Amino acid sequence: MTAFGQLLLEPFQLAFMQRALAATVLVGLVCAVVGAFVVWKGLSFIGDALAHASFAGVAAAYVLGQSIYLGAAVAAVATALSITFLSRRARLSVDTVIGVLFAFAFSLGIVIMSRVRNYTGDLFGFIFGNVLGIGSSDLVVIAISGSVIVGVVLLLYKELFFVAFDPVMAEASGLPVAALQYSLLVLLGATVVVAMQAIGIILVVAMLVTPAATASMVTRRFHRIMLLGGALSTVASVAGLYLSYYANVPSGAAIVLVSTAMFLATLLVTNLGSRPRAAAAAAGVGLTAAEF
Amino acid sequence: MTTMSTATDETAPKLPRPPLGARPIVELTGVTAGYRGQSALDGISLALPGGCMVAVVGPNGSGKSTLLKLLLGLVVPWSGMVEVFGQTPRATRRRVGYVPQTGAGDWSFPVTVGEVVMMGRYGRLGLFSRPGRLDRMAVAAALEQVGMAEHMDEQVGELSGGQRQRVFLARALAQQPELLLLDEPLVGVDAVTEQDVYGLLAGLRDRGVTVLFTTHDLSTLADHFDLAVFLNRRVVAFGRPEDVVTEEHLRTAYGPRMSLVQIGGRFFAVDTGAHHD
Repeated sequence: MTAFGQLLLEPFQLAFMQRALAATVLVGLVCAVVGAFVVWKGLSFIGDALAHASFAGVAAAYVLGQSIYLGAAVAAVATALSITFLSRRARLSVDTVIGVLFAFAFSLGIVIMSRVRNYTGDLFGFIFGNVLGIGSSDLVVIAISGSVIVGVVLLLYKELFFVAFDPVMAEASGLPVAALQYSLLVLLGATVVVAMQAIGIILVVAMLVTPAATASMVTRRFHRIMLLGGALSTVASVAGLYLSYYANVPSGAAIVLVSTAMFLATLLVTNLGSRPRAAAAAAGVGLTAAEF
Repeated sequence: MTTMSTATDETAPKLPRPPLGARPIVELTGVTAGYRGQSALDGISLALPGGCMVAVVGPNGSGKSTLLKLLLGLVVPWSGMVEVFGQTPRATRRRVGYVPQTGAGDWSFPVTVGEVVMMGRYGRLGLFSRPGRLDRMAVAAALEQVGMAEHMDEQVGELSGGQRQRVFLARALAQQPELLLLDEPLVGVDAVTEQDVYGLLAGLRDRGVTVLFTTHDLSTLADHFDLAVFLNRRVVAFGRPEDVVTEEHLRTAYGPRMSLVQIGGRFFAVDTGAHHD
């Protein structure tokens, strides 16, 4: 075996590295599928908010001795539904309601956590991700919930796609538009929870947005944005874990750095070609970035 | 510019022409509706027979778009009753096609011409099911009819205004509706597209489809339409186009601010008053 081959194989001979790889690849695929909607419907701020809000659920579940995932899911879905409900009721912009609720829920999480002794290690794990500490049971949870999320998106693909493009026409065609819009938010909340342990609350948004944004600069077919985003995510996961192993840096951050490097490289290449579609894609991505 | 094909979509069913005196296809009884406490239509009653081409005319803010949205169930009346095919609008959405005003939709969204037209089949397909061979045939036939077949894989955002309007019309055609509602579909489109659209709609009408069309162009009503409704928050006049577009009715609807302007041999009613909507 060559020295280079040995370098490639060595990290993944360790069981925890194998689990980390499986977890980040699974999370990356789910995030890419949901991320196509996040990028093109400008949902990155709400995605970030749901990730932060889920921390309140994590903290409550921790204190009550319940499942962390269940707590996070309840908090994320409750926040998603509250955002939609309040923005309709209070006639405030969705943006404003997100700002209010997400800070509230995150603060609630910090207050709850502060009542628990020796909390700092766990807190750090949830906020920045602890993919190297993922156990077999976590992996099962990620695999099952990830499959459910992707399965629902595939089942409702044509409806979600129609509503994303033109909600008024979708309603005129008889589609249950409000229910579909709520479903997308619930899917987003569930994705955030699945991604949370692998990548951390702070970095979930990068997993959702960056690969889908990179893919959007290359292709303008919605389903191909999902597929290519998944492929880019997988590359980022593998490369990020190598970077993490050999440079001894936190793995979540390493994955995001690789993903961002691919984004910048694609931006450079597509803009050098200066095809109109690349410019349009860059403009679309720019909008999302500004909102973020 | 490609012209629209006169070939009809063979997957579309031919509708029986209703006998004279048949139950109207669209019926409004004492309908008042509007937005945010501001009424757009005040107690209108109207019954439209099937298989004809009906123009809806009137000044800005006269309730033309509201009328179409009532028939689609997108606007719920405050009072009165709206029936389409003898049922509530929500129950009959699948049988009603809609072509929105130009400019509707998210044009930066990554979606191709073929995908947009396929959306016309979604109501018919129902939840969870995927488009099949019949749906792809209907999409291809609809694109052929509007002369956009070779643009199938292009991004909608890269099309011209006239081409987008053809795509929206193709989406409505792919739905194979029995009632087709068009909201000022000819604003900002080229003359060739305009003639093509009228020709296509006349073909649909001849196959028994009821066409309801809002427009500002009063001078050519008699050339293209069987009936006209003159709206100004109420029904000012309803009947044959030449009986509806009269100076008396125009003055009632537009008031003293109205003046008729002739452009290229066609008359347009122009609101010369203060700017609104």
